[in-house]
Amino acid sequence: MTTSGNGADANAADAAADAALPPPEQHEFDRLRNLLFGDELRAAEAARARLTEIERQQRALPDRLPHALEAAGAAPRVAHALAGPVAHALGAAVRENRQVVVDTLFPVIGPLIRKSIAEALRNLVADLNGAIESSFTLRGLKWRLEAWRGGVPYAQVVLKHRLAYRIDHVFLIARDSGLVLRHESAPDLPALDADAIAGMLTAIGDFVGDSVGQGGGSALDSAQVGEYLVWVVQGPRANLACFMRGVPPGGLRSLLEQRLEEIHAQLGDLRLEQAPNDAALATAWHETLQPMALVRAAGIDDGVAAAQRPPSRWPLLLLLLLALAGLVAFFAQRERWDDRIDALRARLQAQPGFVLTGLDAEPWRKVTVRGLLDPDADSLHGILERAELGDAKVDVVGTGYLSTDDAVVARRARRLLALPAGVDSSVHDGVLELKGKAPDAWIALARERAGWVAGVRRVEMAVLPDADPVATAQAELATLAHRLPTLQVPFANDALLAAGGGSVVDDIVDAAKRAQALAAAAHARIAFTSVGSNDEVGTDEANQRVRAMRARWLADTLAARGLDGGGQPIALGEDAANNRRAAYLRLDIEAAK
Amino acid sequence: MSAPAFKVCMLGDFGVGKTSLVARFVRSTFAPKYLTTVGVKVDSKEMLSPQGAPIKFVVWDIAGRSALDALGANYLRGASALLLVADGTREHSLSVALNLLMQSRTALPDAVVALAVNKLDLVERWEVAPTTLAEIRRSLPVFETSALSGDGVEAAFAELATRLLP
Amino acid sequence: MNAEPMLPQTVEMYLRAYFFERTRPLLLSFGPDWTLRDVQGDASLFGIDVDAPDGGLSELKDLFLGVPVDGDHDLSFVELSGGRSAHIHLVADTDGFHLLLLDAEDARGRQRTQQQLGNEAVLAGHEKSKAISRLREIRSELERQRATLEEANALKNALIATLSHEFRTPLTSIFGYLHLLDRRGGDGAHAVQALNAIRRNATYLFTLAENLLEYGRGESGALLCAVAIDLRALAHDIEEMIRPLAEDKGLQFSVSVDVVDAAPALFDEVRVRQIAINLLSNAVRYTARGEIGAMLAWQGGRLRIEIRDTGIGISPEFQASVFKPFNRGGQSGSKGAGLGLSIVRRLIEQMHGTMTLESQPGSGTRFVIDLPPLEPVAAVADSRGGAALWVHDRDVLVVDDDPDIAQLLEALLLDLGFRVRIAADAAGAIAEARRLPPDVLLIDVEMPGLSGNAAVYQLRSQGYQGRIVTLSATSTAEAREASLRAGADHYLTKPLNVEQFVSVMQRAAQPQ
Repeated sequence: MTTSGNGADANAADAAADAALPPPEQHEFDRLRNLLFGDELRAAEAARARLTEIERQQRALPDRLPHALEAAGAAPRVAHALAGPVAHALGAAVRENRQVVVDTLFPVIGPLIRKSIAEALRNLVADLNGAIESSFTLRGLKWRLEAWRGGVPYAQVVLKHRLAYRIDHVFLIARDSGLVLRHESAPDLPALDADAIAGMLTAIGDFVGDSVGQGGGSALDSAQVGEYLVWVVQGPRANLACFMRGVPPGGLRSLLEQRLEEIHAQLGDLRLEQAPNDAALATAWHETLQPMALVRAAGIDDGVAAAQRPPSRWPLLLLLLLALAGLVAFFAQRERWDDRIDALRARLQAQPGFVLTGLDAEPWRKVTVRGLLDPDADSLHGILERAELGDAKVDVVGTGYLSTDDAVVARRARRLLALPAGVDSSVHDGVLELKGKAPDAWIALARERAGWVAGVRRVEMAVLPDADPVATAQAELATLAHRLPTLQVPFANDALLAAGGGSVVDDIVDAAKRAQALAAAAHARIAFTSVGSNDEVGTDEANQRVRAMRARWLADTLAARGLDGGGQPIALGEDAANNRRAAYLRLDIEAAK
Repeated sequence: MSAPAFKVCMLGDFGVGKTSLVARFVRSTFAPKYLTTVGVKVDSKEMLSPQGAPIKFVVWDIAGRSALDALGANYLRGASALLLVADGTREHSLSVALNLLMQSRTALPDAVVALAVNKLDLVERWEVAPTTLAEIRRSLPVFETSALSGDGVEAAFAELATRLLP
Repeated sequence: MNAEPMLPQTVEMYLRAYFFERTRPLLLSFGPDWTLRDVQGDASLFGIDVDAPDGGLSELKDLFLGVPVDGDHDLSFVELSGGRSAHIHLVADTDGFHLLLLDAEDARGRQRTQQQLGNEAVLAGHEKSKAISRLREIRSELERQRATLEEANALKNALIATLSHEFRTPLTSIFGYLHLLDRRGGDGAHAVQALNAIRRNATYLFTLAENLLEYGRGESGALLCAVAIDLRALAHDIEEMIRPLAEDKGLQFSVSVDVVDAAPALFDEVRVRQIAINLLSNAVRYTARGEIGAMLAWQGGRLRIEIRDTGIGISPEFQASVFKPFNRGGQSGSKGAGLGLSIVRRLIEQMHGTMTLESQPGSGTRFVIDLPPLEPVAAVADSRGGAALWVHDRDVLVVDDDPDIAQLLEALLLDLGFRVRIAADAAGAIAEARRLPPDVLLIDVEMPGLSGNAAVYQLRSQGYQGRIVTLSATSTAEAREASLRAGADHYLTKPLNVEQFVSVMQRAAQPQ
């Protein structure tokens, strides 16, 4: 007899278990089990075999996986499937193998960071542009005031005001029951279960207040998740809840508070349950609680629109240009000053008889020139004038010294040796050359003294004695005779001396005395005549008188000065042709034998 | 917002099946996790009263508790109706429900109250005797409900609606 | 040193010989500076070569390094380089000292043996604990397996019980209608034949279901219910049941009853009936021609049942296994679940009876069963004999989702004189009962949606006071309890026992 089903023998355990029961039952169990579970047992066996097979395949997986992935190629499914695990793996890697990750990312991080910084800077510049732009407006000033009062940097205030935000929903919620009294949404949003949301919000508010508010009456003010923000304004009978995105300005909260107060006033004695049914209230609230209305009323332009208008750049550019110009001008001026100082310095250094030890210059204010100055050197004033130092005060601090510069030495020599007219002098490299004709006395003197002139190393005398002192004297006398009439003493009126007359008289005296001195040498006899003249205004008689007066005055003056006519008094004469109010001395020379 | 809205709070012991009771009845906006985290889950339901008037229930399903604490009392504020829920297979839950009722009365003396005894589909295991409910019926509307089949739930809310609307 | 005993010389000599034999002493006498003076004994035994320049003795010297030679000193179990173990005793003397080497090999060997034994004991101990833990493992494994099997068993029982219930409900319908038809009487032979056919098959199905249930119930051992059997009536019933089946196959069928004892036969009638019907239906099945006979005899205080047929018989090899459950005997005719005979055997065992089987393949089979009577037990009064009492002016609300059952019940109740209303579900029942409370509410427990119990509960909790009778396919005590707890007054099971049904309804209809 066979039983239907498998003929599996009972295993040892079954036999043992069965041994615990009376024999006939054991068979029944057996049979029942086989019959009832025969299929299952077979299935289990098959499953076991499959499992072994799968395990085997599993072990071969590491080899097959690369092939499979390659075969998948760029299939998006693979990428999707791997996304999650890779993300987690990355997290684990960062936690456990931080250094490896850092090293791996290092080449990428730099460019990433730079890029993001560039991006941020761009945004910042855009915002700053706007900030600067707004600086020039009344609004900007208001923001400044706000920043100052709030102790917050101005830029932050600007950014806060300029950042975009939008209001999605506004709920007016009965305070205790959480029921919705009024609900407004931005137009493009899907409908929602206002009651459930309002109720839940109230419950959450209660929950938060209860758990963290220590029951002190503090309640949920705001909640933020990512860019989504809920503000709750509490009122005695109703709350206002505002669902927003972005960063709203502080002014919005005070606006909401204001609106809530208005609503409470409108409610008056009305019971909250009846409020939703009141048509007047409904319309009023519909107006005031519209998201767009609130946004406008908060005094800021719709954040979205503002961000879309590209900020203009010209104020910034203008400022920059001005700044640039200023800088350029400054540096240009500075450059000019420096150039002039350099030129001055060069010239000063080139100046013979002056050694420049220091040049202090405060641009356009003061210049101090320090150096060693030879008394015979040319004056520095000319150079300083030509330096074009503007209004700068120029100080010359000079210490005396003796220069061996050729030019200076020449001047020294001329001074010390009292070169006569016929002698030319020049100095080259410390060698004094004297050329020309001069009286013997002078030549002897010069020979003696020329070498003593400081800076002269050698003297080359090429002065010929004056061959004919008489001729020389005569020549000179003739010169004087030509000269004297040119020395005209000016008169103001009649015999009143004009300014500068004194010096002319001195010159005349000098020349006359010289002439007297020369007369003997020249073997000539001289005679002076004082000539007076005037301009032609007046009658002849008057003019004549004036002329005579002037001549007399001159003669008297000269006589007083020790000048006599060589034993003869100075004759008087007049010159009607000279059309000047003047007097002069005329020298007449009689040639002697 | 033409239908008048009323806040209904559901109170009951742990595991009596408040949430499943209401699950089919309300329009579910929030996930059940709020019940365990915040302690309350709010949903809404619009229906017609037996008299044909529209009414909206905002149902506050308050997490199961055996006594009313401060937070629970907070949640009760402003409620117009209370639905107490007990479990027929646990006698204790019935006394808890009545206890909660007593505690809530101090905060909401005027609220309309109904008692739902849940898990009618397991009536063979009920510990609560029918005579007990018959007794309670003299002071409260009582409904035997089954979340599984939905029996009794509509009736309970219909009763609340009748009593809330003038 | 304790006092040495004074021993007789022979004993001393014996001791000495013994000692020398055992220890083979080697005496090395040294001067104070380890100069070897004298050797007595066999040095080679210990592996010491005294003649080697310094070889043998250096080892000994090393052993006593640092030990003063002017006092006695013992070293036990020294293993010498030769491999031999020795006890070495240093005995000081007036001038020098002696080294006495005593063989310790034996002792060493013993020691080693002991150690080995010790190790083996430890190992054995390990093995033992390993074995113990292994045994424990096996035992828990067995426990687990047994629990699994028990669970499977319980599941099987539940499955079978469910199956059986599935049978019962339609069978209720069938029998009920049969009953009605019977009472109305059929018109014409065809109707009668049709009815018989229906009855036959219904009976068969019923038996099958009962067997299944019986089988499932088997281990828990249902209570035996001792009733005084009217054997003749039983025989008649059996004949009624089986004759049509036999005639269908063209078989002769006869039943004989032999009541000798006057005392009433107390047996579990249901089970006896089961036995007879099982065996007879088997006989019918396995007999193609010839005859089938049943014989009931009550004599000598024992009930004897004999069933014989001229069927195909059972070969000796199969005779043992034929009583196994689910055996369909690898022969022709594999109808039937093969439970019948195993149930028969179990029933007989439960009733402490015996059964013998004689069979010749091809010529027939004979079963002989011998049953002792049961102890009389307070029998449940069967209202079998009660005459049907009509109720007057009572209305009943019948609640059942199955329209067939509902109609059946309606018919039965109308028969009894009730006015009948019908509701199809629990909600309808509640509404109707409240609208117009009936005298009796008859409600089926198994209904889709809310169960009948729920409806009962709700009615009771609303203060409904009327009589409630619940009808259920579950016959367990818990189900009954639950129903009564929910507020029912009476509890009936499917398939309907019509008499019981009538009695309950009559009781329920009584004014309270």
